[in-house]
Amino acid sequence: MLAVCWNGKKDIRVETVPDPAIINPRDAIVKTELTAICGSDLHIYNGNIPTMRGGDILGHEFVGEVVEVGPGVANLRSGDRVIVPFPIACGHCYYCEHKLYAFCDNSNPNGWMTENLYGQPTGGLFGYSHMMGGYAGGKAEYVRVPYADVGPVKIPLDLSAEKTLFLTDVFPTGYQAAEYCGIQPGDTVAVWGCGPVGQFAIRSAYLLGADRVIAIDRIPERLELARSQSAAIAVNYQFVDVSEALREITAGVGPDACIDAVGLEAHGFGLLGWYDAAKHKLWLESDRPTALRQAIQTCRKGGTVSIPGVYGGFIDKFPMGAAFAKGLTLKMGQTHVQKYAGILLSMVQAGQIDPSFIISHRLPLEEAPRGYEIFNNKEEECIKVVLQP
Amino acid sequence: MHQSRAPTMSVAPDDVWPEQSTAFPDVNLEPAEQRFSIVSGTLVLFGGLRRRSLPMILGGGFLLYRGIRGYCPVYRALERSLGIPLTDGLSFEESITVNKPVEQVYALWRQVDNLPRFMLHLESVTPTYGNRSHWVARITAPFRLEWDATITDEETNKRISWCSLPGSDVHHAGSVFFHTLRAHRGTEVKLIFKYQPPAGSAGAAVAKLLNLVTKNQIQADLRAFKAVAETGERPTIKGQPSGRAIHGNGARPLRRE
Repeated sequence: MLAVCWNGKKDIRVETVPDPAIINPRDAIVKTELTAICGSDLHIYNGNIPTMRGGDILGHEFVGEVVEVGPGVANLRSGDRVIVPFPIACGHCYYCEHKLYAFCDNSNPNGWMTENLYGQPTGGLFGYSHMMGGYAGGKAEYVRVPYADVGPVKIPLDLSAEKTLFLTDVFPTGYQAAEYCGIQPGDTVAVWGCGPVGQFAIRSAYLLGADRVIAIDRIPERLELARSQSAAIAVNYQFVDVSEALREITAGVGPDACIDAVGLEAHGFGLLGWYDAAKHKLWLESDRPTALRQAIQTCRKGGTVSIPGVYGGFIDKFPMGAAFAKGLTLKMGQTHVQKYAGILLSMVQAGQIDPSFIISHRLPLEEAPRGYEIFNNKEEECIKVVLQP
Repeated sequence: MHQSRAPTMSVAPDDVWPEQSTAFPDVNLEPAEQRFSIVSGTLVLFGGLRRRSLPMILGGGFLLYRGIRGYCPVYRALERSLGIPLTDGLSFEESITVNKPVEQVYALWRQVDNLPRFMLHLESVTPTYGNRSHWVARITAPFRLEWDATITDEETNKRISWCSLPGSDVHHAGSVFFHTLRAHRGTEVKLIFKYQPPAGSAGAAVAKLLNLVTKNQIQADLRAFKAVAETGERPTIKGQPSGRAIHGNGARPLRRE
């Protein structure tokens, strides 16, 4: 089969590899109908995720058809059309039983790696480095899906793949980020980063009852999408001072909740931006938290900072004083997709939202390397690339 | 998770442990190592005298002394710094929490032919008769490592203790304790494991260096036990496709700029 393989920093190749097979009783094989490049895939592309090995198959957003199931899978049959959540979850550990699927105790065969790094082992992910399990990903014609009786969600045949694909990651990720904000009537929510996760965070904040949502980015087409599709107030940080703008919009109060949908590769600016860039180059700082610092600095007293953006290591100049003085609540972490996929699918079915609005590029799987390049360089007004095998 | 000199409880009856044959109380070399030390010490000493090399004379003299005397101050210093007599064997204590009722967790461990499902270094465990079983380790051919073990003590849903029988390749003993946690937090499983490395003090010194490896292995086994108990299978990526196969082998660089 054809698969998109990582071979090193900015070295993505489409190669012919052996087809996957059932290995464990609860496995299934899914034939990919549509897959996508995620913003978090760019962290791998840029060599910022450790424990990748040359030849690893990438991808964690995919929808497709079940073609084979192991003897331990009773709820799926060949021919079922499913979306597959990006975290791999066993369904029976303490965390799965408490709907904290991304923290699954059992799905990561290399759990000792994250246990050493973070104190506890984290769950496995599709196509996202060996410390996250080393599972072959979804940017391939066929994918082995472990614990197939837990993760995959059946989708009706009359819903297009484009409408359901983002239930695997970016839509639930934006939704969870907005839910973490505990939105009350009258609330103003500020969202840093208007990539796919930011777009869904904005839309979800409105769905959950926010009064106003402020979208912060520097790329005109992304701000325009947030404005036209979700009626957000757009703030371009290249032209205005974000703190000033937020103070003005909220008449001095500050946003009730701030969402950092940027993560560890924030595009820095000003003195601190140079500081982070220099330290990162010298391997003294792994993550560059420009957006996070701003979110904490601008959030109102007693507010919530919700962080769907990915962080992997250590950050500097964390404004702990501001967080403490204002008694902020910080909520973060990988998305427990299995918890949300069902609710969000019914929203799509009811026509409350059509998640395909973020797609800017439709490419065949063979053109994945070009997709990575334009998405990473934000060329051709690229927001989201979907790939068709 | 720690390793201690004396386990908090006895894991094996004393009579199954190999006897220490010591003529003098402070002799800490085995006869074979004593002979080796005398021969090599003599060779080095004469070589040193011929080449007029002071380090060689001193080194040879030292080897000769420890060979004749049967006592090695380096081993003693090593024991002091490690805080454990090398001849006492190694003991480990590790624990894990399993999200299943104690009855299920206990039953999985008690059925000894289940052990290779989560003890990754075991090829097979076959019940023989009574409480006895035959264990075969998973090591590269043509080597073979096997032994017989017996359950020495057990208390349903609380504890299982076992030890290897005399004549085994590797002497070891273990106890596993089960404890129900409050408020549906599952079952705590604590494993205390002790083994006597082969080849006396030299073997023990090597085993000491491998201490961390063994400790990690025991942790991996417990994690695999938890996975089997909770999910019925062990997570793995062995056998899945990758782009490595087409390039011949997996030995390609991790990063290529």
